[in-house]
Amino acid sequence: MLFYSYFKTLVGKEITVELKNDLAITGTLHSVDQYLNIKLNNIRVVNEQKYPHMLSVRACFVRGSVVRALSCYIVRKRERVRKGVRGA
Amino acid sequence: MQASAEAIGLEPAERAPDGASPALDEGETVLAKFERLALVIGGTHEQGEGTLFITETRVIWLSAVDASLGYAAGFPTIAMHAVVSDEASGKPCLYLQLDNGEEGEGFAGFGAAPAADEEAEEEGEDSSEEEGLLAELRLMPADGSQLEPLFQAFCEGAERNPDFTTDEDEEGAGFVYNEDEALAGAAAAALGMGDVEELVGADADRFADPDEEEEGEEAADKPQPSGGC
Repeated sequence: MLFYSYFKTLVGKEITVELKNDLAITGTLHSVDQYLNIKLNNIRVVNEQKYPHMLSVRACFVRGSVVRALSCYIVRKRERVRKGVRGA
Repeated sequence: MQASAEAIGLEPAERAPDGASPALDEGETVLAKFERLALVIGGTHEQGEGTLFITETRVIWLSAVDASLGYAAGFPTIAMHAVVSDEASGKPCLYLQLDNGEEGEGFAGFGAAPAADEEAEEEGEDSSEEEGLLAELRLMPADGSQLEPLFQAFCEGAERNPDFTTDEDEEGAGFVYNEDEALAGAAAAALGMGDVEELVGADADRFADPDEEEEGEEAADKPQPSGGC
């Protein structure tokens, strides 16, 4: 439950979620649940060229099992949390 | 198309006898239905309009035009979904990425660009990626007001179908064993048996080599007495 507790503290903050297929999405963390499913608002895709169909993303839900890592900026210091459970 | 669809995690959907609703598993029910959704697979493969059914464990799309066309995917296969503006029409649609569980370069179909068959072969890619089908879908509703409930339905479906094994929680998760053998071993241990001599029993001769007269027998199959194994 350690990750879940930590992620809950990031609700409302801007984070970048990296999926296992290298897709990276930046957005405001709307909510997270115990399975680390993540809902984001105000989204922009980090690597747009690779995923051209993801334009003007309004709302997004990412399944916890496909999240590789999650980054956030805290007071100009970048903190990166890597989920080590399933491996990269 | 069917083979490529299965490669990215979409299974062909069977229909119930009425032809309009999906064949469901035992105990499975339709929780929601969304009509007039156009499906596009892999960015370019338009499947036409159809009806989407949400059940406890999966989503099923049945073509409204072709009675033999339909796809189903379990919620665990859906890696992410989002409301996006379709670049062609400018209208909002539901965008989904699938994860069929393959490791390596991430989701099947990703990691390599969606190349034409010839190009893929020239590059010497794995045959499973020859089609170059991106593991992404778009559902475009004729009625835009469906998008919000559609997005919600997928969220709830994912929440209803979490992955269960986590390394921290289950010790020995994924450990494969034969239940019968394990139970037999446990029973033997409980009875205090396990010593070879006890297992051999009183008549050790039954493990002796066969007599040469027994020609019809498969002598090779008889267990040879050994020093304990």
